[in-house]
Amino acid sequence: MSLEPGDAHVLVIVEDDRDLLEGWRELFEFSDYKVHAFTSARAVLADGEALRAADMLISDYHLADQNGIELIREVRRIRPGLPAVLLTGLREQHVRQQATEAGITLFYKPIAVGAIEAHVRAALVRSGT
Amino acid sequence: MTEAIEPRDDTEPADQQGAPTARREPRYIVGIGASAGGLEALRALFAGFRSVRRLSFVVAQHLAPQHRSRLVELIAHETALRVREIEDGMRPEAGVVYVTPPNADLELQDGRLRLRQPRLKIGPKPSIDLFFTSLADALADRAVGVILSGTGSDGAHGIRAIKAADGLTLCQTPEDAKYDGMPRAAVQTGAVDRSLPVEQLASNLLKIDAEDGRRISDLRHDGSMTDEADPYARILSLLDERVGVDLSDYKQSTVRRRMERRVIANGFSSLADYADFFEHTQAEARLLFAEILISVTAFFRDPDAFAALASQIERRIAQARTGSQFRVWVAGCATGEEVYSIAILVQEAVEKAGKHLRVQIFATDLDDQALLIARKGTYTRGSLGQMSPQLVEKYFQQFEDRLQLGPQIRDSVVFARHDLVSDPPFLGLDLVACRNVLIYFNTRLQERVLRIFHYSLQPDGLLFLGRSETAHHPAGGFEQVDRQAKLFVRLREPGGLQAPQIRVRREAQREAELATRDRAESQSADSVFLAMVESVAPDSVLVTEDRLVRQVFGNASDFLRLPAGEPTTAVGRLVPAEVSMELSTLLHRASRSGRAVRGQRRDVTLPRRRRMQLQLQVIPIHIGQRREYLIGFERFSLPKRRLDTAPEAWSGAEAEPDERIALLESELKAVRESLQLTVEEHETANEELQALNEELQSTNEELQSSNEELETTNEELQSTNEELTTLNQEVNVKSAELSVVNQRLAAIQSAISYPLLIVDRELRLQSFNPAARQLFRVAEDDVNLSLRAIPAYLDLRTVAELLEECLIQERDRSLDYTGQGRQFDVRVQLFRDPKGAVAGAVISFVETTDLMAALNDARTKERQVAAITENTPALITMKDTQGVYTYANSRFRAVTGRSAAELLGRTDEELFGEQQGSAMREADFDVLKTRRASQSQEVLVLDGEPRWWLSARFPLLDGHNRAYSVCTVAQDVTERVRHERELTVFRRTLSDATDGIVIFEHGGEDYRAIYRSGRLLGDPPQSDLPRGDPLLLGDVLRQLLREADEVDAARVEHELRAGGVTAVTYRIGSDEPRWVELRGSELTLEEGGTRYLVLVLHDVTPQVRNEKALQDQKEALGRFSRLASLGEIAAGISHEINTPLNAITIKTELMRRMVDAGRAEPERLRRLTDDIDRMVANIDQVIAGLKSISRLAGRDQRELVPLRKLVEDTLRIVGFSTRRHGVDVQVDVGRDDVDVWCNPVQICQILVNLINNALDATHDRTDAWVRIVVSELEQAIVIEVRDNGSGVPAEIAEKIMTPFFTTKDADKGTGLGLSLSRTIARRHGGELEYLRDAEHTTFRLTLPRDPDAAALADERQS
Repeated sequence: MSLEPGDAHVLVIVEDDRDLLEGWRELFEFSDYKVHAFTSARAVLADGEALRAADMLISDYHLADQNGIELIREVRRIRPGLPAVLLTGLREQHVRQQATEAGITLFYKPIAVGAIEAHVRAALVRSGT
Repeated sequence: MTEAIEPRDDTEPADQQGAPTARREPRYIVGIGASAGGLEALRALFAGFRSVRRLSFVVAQHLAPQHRSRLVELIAHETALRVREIEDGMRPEAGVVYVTPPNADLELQDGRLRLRQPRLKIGPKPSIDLFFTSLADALADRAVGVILSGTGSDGAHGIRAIKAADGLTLCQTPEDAKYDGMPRAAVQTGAVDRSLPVEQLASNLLKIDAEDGRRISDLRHDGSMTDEADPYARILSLLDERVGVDLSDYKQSTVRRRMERRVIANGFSSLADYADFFEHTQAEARLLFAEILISVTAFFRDPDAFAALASQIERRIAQARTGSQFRVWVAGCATGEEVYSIAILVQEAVEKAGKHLRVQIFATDLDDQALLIARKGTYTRGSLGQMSPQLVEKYFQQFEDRLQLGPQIRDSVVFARHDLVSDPPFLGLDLVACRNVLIYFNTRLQERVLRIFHYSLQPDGLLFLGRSETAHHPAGGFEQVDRQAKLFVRLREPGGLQAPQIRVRREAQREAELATRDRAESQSADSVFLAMVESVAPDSVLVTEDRLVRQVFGNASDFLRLPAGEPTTAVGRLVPAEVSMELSTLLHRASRSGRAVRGQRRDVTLPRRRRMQLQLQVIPIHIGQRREYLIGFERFSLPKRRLDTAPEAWSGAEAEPDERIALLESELKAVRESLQLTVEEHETANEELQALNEELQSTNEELQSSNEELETTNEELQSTNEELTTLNQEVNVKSAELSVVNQRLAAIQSAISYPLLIVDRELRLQSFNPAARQLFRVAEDDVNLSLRAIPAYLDLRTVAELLEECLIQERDRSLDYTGQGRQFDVRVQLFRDPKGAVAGAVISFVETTDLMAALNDARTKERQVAAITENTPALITMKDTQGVYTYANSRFRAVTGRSAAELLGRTDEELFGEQQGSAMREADFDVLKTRRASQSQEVLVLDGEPRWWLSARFPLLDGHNRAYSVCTVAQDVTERVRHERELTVFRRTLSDATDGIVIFEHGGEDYRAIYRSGRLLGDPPQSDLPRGDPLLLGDVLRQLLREADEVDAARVEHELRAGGVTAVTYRIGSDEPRWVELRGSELTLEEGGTRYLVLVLHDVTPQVRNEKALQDQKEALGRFSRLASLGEIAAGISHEINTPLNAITIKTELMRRMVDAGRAEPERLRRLTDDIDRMVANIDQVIAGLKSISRLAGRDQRELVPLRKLVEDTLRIVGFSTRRHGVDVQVDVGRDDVDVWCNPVQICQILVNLINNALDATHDRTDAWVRIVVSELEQAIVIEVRDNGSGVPAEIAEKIMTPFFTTKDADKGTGLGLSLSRTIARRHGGELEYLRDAEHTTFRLTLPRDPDAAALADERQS
C-alpha cells in the first residue's frame, strides 16, 4: 500500500507551549493530516472522540499536569498499541529508559522536523491504518 | 522328732477312743506294699497329702524282724496326716496312715487290723500277698492295692486278688521305682489298673478321696485319672528334638520339679499349658534345658572328699612311671570349677612327686553355655570357695575384678560337649569324676552309666562320685575306698559287669552296617569251626549239655548205633556199650575241668562184627551262654598180639579159657553189682544235694530279704544320722559361738579402761576387769567375797549402800564418788537372769578427775573467747545450716540496733530483707558446701545507708567433719571502699580524658615518675612504675619527643623545671602523622610540700585533621556553589530560549514547504513571520535580562545594586515561563531608590529559584498567582516571594533547607536550590527562611542594608 503524506490520518498532538503547538498543527495539516491539538494531558484524556479517532499520539515530555510518558501510558489503556512519539529537551537517562520500556519513539529538541515527520509516516505505514 | 508324731495310745484300742462322731469310717482302705527302696517311695507318696477325708492307708513295708523300725517317724515327717503303728485289733480310721510293725503279718478281719505271727519262717514280713488278699476278701471294691519299689515278687498275688474282688490296683512304674522287682511282677500279672510315677500315684489317690459316692470301678475308667497325652512326655520329646538331649531316662521326679519351676516362671498353672507354650516357643527349650541341668558348684566343694581324692591321686602319681600318661574324665563338668579343682590337685600331686607326667583331663557336659564359661576359666572370688590362698595365689591371675586360671591349668583341660548316655566314652582313664550327675538318672540309667565308667577306667582306676549319690553303689566291678568321699576303685577282674552297650544315636545306617558284618563274621566263624573240628577230631559228634547229639561230623556215624526201643539222640545210648560208661565219665570230667579230656583205648565191637580199638576225646565248647561238648572218636586197628601191658591178672592166669571166662564173668558180675550200688548211692547223694540246694535257695531268699530290710534300715539310719550330724553341727556352731562370745566378753572387759565390778544379789564379787584390779587391788581370791568384806584399797562403803538401794528399788543409779583425790562417776546397772529377776549388778567407775579439770579449763577458755568476741570492733555472728542466727556479738547488735532476742533464731532474710539476705545466704551456703573459709566484701544497707564490710566466713566443723555452722567476722570498711571508689573513678576519668599522663614527684635532684598511664605511653597502660627503676623527667621527655624533630626536648625540660607551664604541639610519625599536644603543670598539696609535676599528653590529630578537612570543604563548596548557580541559570535560560526557537524552527519549515508546494498564501506567510518576530523579541528579552544581570555582576563581586532593577531583570529571565504557565505575577517594590549591597547574579539566582518553585507549586491552579513584595527595615531589606500554591507540608518544612532535598522530579532540579540559596543569603549577612505560619506560601529573603555587616558576615562564613 502506498500512502501519500497525510492521507487524512488522525494525529493527536500535546504540547504545553501554544506557539509550538500551533506550529505543529499547521505543519501537519499542511501535509493532509487531521490534527487534534491539546495543551495539557487532562484535555487529551477528556476528549474521547479524538482518542478513538487517533492514529498516532505525539506528546511533549514536559507538560504542566503530567509528563508525556505517563500520558501515553494512560492513552494506551484506552487505545492499546497506539503508536506514540515523545519529544523532550531533557537528555536524561531515565527518560530514555522509560520511553524504551513503554515502546515510545523519542525525539530530542531542538526538533529535526523532517525526521519526525518521516518517522510518523513510516509508523503509520507499519501499523497499516 | 518324736514330737511330730501323734502321741501313742497304748492303753486304748483305736476303736474305743473318743465320741462316735470323731471316728471316721474310711470309704476306702489303701493297702500299700513296699520293700527295698520303699522308704523313698513312701515319703514321696505321702508328701503329696495334706488332708484326706475318706481314705485310710495301711503300709505293709518289708522290715527286718529284729529291728525296731522308725518308719512311723520317717513317714510322719513327710505328711500332714496322722501316722500310727498298727496294734492288734485296731479299727482303721479315715485320714490316718497305719504302719505295720516289724516281724508280723497283717490281715484285715471284721473291719479290724490283726497282727499275726509270721506264717512263713523264710520270706519277707509282713507278707504283702497275705494282707492284700485279706483286704480283697473284706472290702471287695472298697479295697485299693498299691505296690511300690522292692525286689522279689511279693504283692503280685495280692494285687490279683484285689483286682478279682473288683478293687482298684495301682503300682509305681518300674522305671520310676528304685528297685523294679515288685512293680514289674505286679504289672506282669496284668491285674494293675494304673502304673504311674509316685507323684501321680499320690494325685490319683487324692482324686479317689475327692470323688464322692462314685465307685472305684467308674474311676478306674475315668479319663480324669489317666493322662492320655502326658505333657511331660511331650515336653521331653520336644526337648530331644530341639536340644538333642534325651532325658527320658532321667529321674522323673527331679526333671518334673525343674520343669515346674519353668511352669511357674512362665506364669502357667498346669504342665499342660506349659507344654503348649513350650511347643510354640523355640527359646524355651534352651531355658528348660539349662534349668534341668542347673548345677551349683564351687572350687573344692566338699573339702573332705577332695582331700581323700588328693591322697588317692598322689598315691597313683607317686607310683606312675615318668613319662606315662595320667588321664582324667570329668563328666558333667558344668561351669568348670570342679574340673579345675581336680586339675589343680593333679598338678599339685605331679609337682610333689617331681615327675614328668602327661596329664590329660577331659571335661564334658551337655550344656554348651556352661562349657563356654568353663573354657574361659574366669571366676569371681566368691566362687573360689574354700580354696587355700596359696593355691589361689599360685594358679590364678587377677584379671580386673575377676580371677583367671593360669594357662598351665587351662591347657591341661579339654572341654567338649558330650552326652554321657549316648556318646562313646573316653578310655584308659585313671580317674573318672562324675559328681551330682547320677542323681538325675533313674536306677537303670545309673547302672548303665556306671558300666560305662567301668569300661572307661583302667584297672585300679578311680571313680569319684558326688556326696549325695546314694550309692546304690556301682554294683560289682568297683570297690569302695572311701565311703565318705564316695571314692571307688575299679577292680582288676571284670566282675559281673560287661562291656557297656553304647547306644549310638542317629547312626542307624552304621548300625545296619555293623549288623551285616556280624552276620558275615558268624558265617566265617562257622567255617572256621568246621575246619577246627576237622583238624582236632575229624570224626566227632557235638552234644548238648543234656548229652543229646546236635551234630555229627566226619565218619562218626560209623561208631554209633541206633539202639532198640524209642529213637533217641542221647549219646550214651548211641555209642558202643564198651565205651558208654567211659564217655559218661569223660563228659563229667570235661564239664568239671572245662578242658579237653581223653579216654583209654578200648576194644570195641562195632556192628557187622568189626572189631577195633577206639579212643574217645571230649572237648568242652562254649557257645554263647550254652555249653556243648565235642566228642571225638579215634580208631586204632587191633594189634596182632595182645599188648604187653595187658593186666597181670590176665597174663598171670594159667587157667583154662572157660574157667577164666567164668571167673571173669563172676568178677564182672561183682563189679557190676558194686557199680550198681555206687550208682544208686550217687543218685541218693544227688537227691540230697538237690534238697540241700533247695534249702540254700530259700536261705538265700531270706538273706536277700534281710538284705533289703537292712537296706531300708540303713536308709533310716542314714537319715537319722544326717539329722544327728546337723544337730551336732548346730551344737558345734553354738559352742563355737559361745566360746567366741566369751572371748569377746573378756576382751571387752579388759578393753574397758575404767574399773568395772560385777556382783551378784548378795553383793558378792563375781568378776572384775584389769582396771578394777589396779584401782581396788582386788585379786582372784576375792571372787565370791562380799563387797563389804573385800579389803579394798578405796573405801567402798558408799558404793555398797548405793548398790543395796538399787537392788531394793530395782533400778539403776549413779553416784559421784571421790577417793584418793580422784573423782569418779559410779554407775550401778542391774542385770537380770533369763526369767527377768535381778541377778546382780555391774558397777562401773568412770574417772572424772580429768574431765572435771578439762571442764573448768573449757569454761575459762569459753569466757576468754566470749570476752574477745564481745569486745572486738568486728562483727561476729554464727548461723546454723538453715541460716538461723545462733550467735551475734555486741558490736553486731549495736550496728544492727537489735537486741540478742531480736536477732537469735532469725535469718538474714528476716533481718535484712529478701535481696540482701539471700545474697548473704548464698555465701553462707558456699562455705557450708565447700567447707572452706572465704573472704568477701559485702554491702549492707543499714538505715538506708550502704555500708561495706570485709567479711571472713569460715565453717565450724563437728566431730564428723561436717559443717554445722558458719561463723562470719566482718569489719566495717565503708570509708576505705569509698576512698578506693573515688580513686578508681578519678583514675578512670584521668586515663579516659587524656591520651597520656605522667606524674612526677620532685625528690632530691630530679623529678621521678610516680604515675603514668595512657595509650600514647605504650600499651598496656601502666598505672604504676616498677620500683627501683625511676623514670626521670629528662628520660620521659626524650622518649616522648624523639620523633618530634622540630621540638627541642632539652628546652622543654628546662622550661618545665623552671616551673613554667608549657605546651607544645608536635608531629610524630611520617607515614600517618599524628599530632600530639604536650602540656606540663606543677602543683603542691601543701605549702612547701612535695612538688609534683603533671605532664599531660593529648592526641590532637583529629582536631588538626578536622580543621584541614573543613578548610578543604569550604573551598570545594565555594567552587561548587558558583558552578551550581551558573548551571541553574543556564538551565532556565536554555528553556526560555529553546521553546521559542523550536516554534520558530517549525514555522520556518512550514513556510518553506508552502513555498516549495507553491501554496504560499501571502496572509498566512505574513502571520507566520509576525509570529517569528514576536518570538525573536521574546528571546531578545531573555538575553537582555541576562546581559543586564551579568553586567550588574562584576565577577563574583559585591556592589550596590538598585533593587527594582534587580527584580525586573529577574522577571525578564523568567518572564517566558510565567507567561507560559499563565501565572499572574505582581511586583510591589515600593521605593525606586532602594539599593542593595550584593552580588546581583547570586541574588537573581535566589529569586529565580523561588519563582520557579512557586510556578511548580501552582501549576494545577487556573488562578495561580505569584507576588514579590519588597519592604524596608531599619537595618535590612526584606524580599518576600508568595504564591497561592499547595504550600509546604509541615512534615517537610524542616528539611527543605537542607542540601539535596527536593520534592521535584529528578529532571526538574538538583535539590541544591533552597540550601544553596540560604548559603548565599547568609554569606551576604542575610537570611532565607520559610514562613511557616503565613497565610500563603511565603519565602523571606533578608539582606542587610549595611555593606560592612554584609562584608563581615561573608568573611566569617568563609
